[in-house]
Amino acid sequence: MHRYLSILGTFARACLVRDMTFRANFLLECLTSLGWMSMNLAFYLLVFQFTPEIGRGTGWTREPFFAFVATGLVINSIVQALFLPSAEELTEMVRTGGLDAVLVKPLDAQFLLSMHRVDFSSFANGIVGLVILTVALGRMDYTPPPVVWLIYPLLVVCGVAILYSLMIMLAAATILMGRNQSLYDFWFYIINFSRYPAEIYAGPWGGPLRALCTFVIPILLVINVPARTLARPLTGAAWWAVAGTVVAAVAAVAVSRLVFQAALTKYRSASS
Amino acid sequence: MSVGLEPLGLFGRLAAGLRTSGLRTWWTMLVISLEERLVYRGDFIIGTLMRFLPIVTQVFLWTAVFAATSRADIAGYSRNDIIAYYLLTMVTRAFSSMPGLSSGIARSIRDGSVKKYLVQPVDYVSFLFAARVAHKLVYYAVAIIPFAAVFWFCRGYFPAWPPPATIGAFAASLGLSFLLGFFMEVTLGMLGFWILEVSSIVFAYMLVQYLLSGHMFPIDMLAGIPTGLPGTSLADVVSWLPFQFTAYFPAAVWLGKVQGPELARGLAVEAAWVVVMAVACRLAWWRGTRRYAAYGG
Amino acid sequence: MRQDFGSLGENHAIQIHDPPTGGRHAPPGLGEHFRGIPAAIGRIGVGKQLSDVAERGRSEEGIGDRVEEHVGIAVAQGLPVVGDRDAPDDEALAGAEAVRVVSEADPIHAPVFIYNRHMHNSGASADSSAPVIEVAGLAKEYRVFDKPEGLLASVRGLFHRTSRLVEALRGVDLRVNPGEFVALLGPNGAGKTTFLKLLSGIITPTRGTATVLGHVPWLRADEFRRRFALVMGQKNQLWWDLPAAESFRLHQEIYRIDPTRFARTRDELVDMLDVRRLVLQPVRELSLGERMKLELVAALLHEPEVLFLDEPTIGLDVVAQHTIHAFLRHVQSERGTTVILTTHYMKDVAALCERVVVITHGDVLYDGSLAEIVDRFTTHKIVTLDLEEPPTPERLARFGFPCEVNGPQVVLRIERQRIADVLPEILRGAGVRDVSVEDVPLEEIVAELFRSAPPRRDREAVLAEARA
Repeated sequence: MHRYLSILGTFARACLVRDMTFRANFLLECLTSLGWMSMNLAFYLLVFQFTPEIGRGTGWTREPFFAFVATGLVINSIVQALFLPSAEELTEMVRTGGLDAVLVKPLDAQFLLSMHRVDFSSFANGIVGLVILTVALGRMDYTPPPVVWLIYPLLVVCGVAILYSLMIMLAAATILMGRNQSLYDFWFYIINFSRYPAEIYAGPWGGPLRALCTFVIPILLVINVPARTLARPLTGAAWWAVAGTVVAAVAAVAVSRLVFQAALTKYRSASS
Repeated sequence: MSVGLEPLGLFGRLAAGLRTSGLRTWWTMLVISLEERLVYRGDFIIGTLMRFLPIVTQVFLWTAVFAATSRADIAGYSRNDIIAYYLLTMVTRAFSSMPGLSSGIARSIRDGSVKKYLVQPVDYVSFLFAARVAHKLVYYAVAIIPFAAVFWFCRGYFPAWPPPATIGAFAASLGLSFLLGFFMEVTLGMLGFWILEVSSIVFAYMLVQYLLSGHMFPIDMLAGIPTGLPGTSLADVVSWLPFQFTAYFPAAVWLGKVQGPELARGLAVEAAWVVVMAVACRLAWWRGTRRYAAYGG
Repeated sequence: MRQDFGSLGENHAIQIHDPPTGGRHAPPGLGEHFRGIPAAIGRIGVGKQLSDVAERGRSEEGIGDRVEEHVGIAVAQGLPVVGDRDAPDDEALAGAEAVRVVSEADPIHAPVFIYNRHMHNSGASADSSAPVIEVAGLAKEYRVFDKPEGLLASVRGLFHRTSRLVEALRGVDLRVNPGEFVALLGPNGAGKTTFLKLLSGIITPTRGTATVLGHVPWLRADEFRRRFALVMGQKNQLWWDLPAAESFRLHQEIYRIDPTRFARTRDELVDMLDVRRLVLQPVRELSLGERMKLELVAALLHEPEVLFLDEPTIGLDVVAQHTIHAFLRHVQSERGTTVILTTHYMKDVAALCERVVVITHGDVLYDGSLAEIVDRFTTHKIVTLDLEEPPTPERLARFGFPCEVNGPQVVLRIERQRIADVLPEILRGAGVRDVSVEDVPLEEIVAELFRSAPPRRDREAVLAEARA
């Protein structure tokens, strides 16, 4: 719908104007996210001093692993730039009754609530991620076949979609509970499981956890599947994973929307 | 204003502070904090357990790291040691982390509410200290259950109980880490007397702490990294800095990674830093309030 | 004085003499079909063409253009102004495009009121007399958990929490016709805001039905949401960090307002409220009153047919309240918007509406005109006497009614039926310099209404009485 795109443009423009007005703050925020990212990168470099690979025989040596990390940076930066700021505000809106103003507008509430704020400083991480990706790919022994350049962006979009759906489910929970508990904390705790290659989840506890995070709350598909297309040859199993991720993304968006709509009908609205 | 025997002076002032604000006030503070916690009961239990979640990922990660290498230990830590280490750093951080302390001080300087401490006979730092103690006690009282549950569940990762002397040293280092964390954050907050946006400095501090406190990995792992100076590794440098005491040191003590003379040296350095930061904080308060009053507030 | 303006044609304008209200309110029977500009447009002599009225009217700020528009339509269509009536006559009314009401008292110098048939094509039901809002048995209940008091209770609260059922609205019926200005009056917690939230679709009811503009509000159809507006006092709907102009533009996109129409409406509203210089400032820099005005502009940009206002004047200073009242009156009569306003301020009601719905404890206690509240709910009148000198105790005793003394002034509360008998007696006593007889102030009546609203079981009786 062209109208929704144009409205999104207005939101983005307004946020950009605001960020440019408070330029020092904007720069500080860019630096902050870059700072945390560098600390984590330093940690990974340190780990690779002690081991050649993460997990025996998994193939996640240093360069592929950094390609993995870079993919994570790109996907998370998109989510943190486009969707997370609005989600953060949602708890506040539910508390102050600002959600009421959204519900009376002839516009899809989910759209408004998940996209009205854009945080441009979060793109900084993504840009650095792309740089790291390029470097890692350059240094890797394996060169991915050309078809990967089509699949990879698709899988990145699917990853973003899955994370978006997760966010919407948490938002629905916030609306239903009407409480102040920060959505934000839960988000990072859950995402944390997707930060590393799925192969590390092995053993009596790891196996079930891996299954849970692949088939029930498919966060392990988000970074793993696109990263693997860069680091490993595309076997039949890999194609299944690709197809499965696309299906999962579509299903996640659909399910989360249903849940969100249901939450809106049960909305209580803070007393005036 | 005596700036010399600061720690003793502090405790004296604390006692005085408690007496003026009254033990009753302090008790009320305690009770209210407890009620506050309990109101968001679901939040609290889930929140505390959630804090352990990142460790789950770390457990799997390190297991995978060890699986790929033929080593038995990394920098003296076996896989089980590392897991035990992370759990122990959670305990240390429960003592040394002071959420909102520096930003709260900076804010009260910015909006002028710090003024009332200039005129009242209550000492601001003592007041903050008493409040923090209350908060912490409450936190421990309620968090002990989830903590105990997790530790019991993970008891397999821990080596045998250390000797009493080690446990004593551990307790001492925990107490000192509380004091150190407190004074560092208060001093940071007091920078608000001179700098408008303290948040940028706080952010830098938090970044450095994240890397060098041992939060992410045991400092021993830095032993292989050379610095410019001959014969000193990065780990050596870090061992003189205050940051390691907010997460690494007590954990390492419990696990026996720091022994004998090193242990003594560590405790001494920790205590020294406590003194330094306490003095710094007192100085900052003194100079800061003078400057503040001069500008009319 | 009567004047013949020509023969009665198929469509015409008629002139009605209406002494009782002097045209200030649409005479009974007129209101259903005609909207008016209840403001004087100037004094004219009877017999002038309506086009002359437009000429004169132009000198009154802004109103003249409106008049010309309405009257001009009538004249342009070649409609003669016809006939004099003492009261509206269905046959004549049926064909009339415009109605001019003149006070008989002084036809030459009396203000003239022009009413025209509602021109605004809302695209709503062709039958403009169908109710805009119909509510039947609407109720809303929800469960609230009790917050524990004290330490022991807090600990217990970890394991078990008590809750109770709050009945915010207990089965409310309402019917609002197009163009009405209705006030929902009630103390805090009475349920008026809940009611408004139900009508605007923000929450869903526990029981009952409601339709607004033919839609069920809580289905939140886009079609429906495009036709109404909600303004909440003290709650900001505008973008906080940016100038209001940006929010307006966003509104245009969201409501799909045609650009030329948008520009015209926006300019009109902005000028009416005199906020042009504020439109480019970030909203957070403005005062509450200024923000409220901008909120109103934003709400009306898409020319809604129904306007919901939730305590719009709360927290505003007197001047701002006054401006907003005038604005709302004008807009409502101008565009025939149906307005529902919740408030607990009497002056909002007195300034704006004819119809008041009093809500207490989730129930409608009274639904009718403001004037009738006085009739129905007071038994006394207030008589104030200015005496030449402060009264002596004997004098006071002689009055025999409860009284308040402020120096030489005595205030008495006397039953209404007895006033006619009693007053001459009082006045006959020497030393009365001035007397005034007034209704109990509206505020007092309404406050009493709020206070005395009995618990549910007995309310049946009160409602029966009010409806009688």
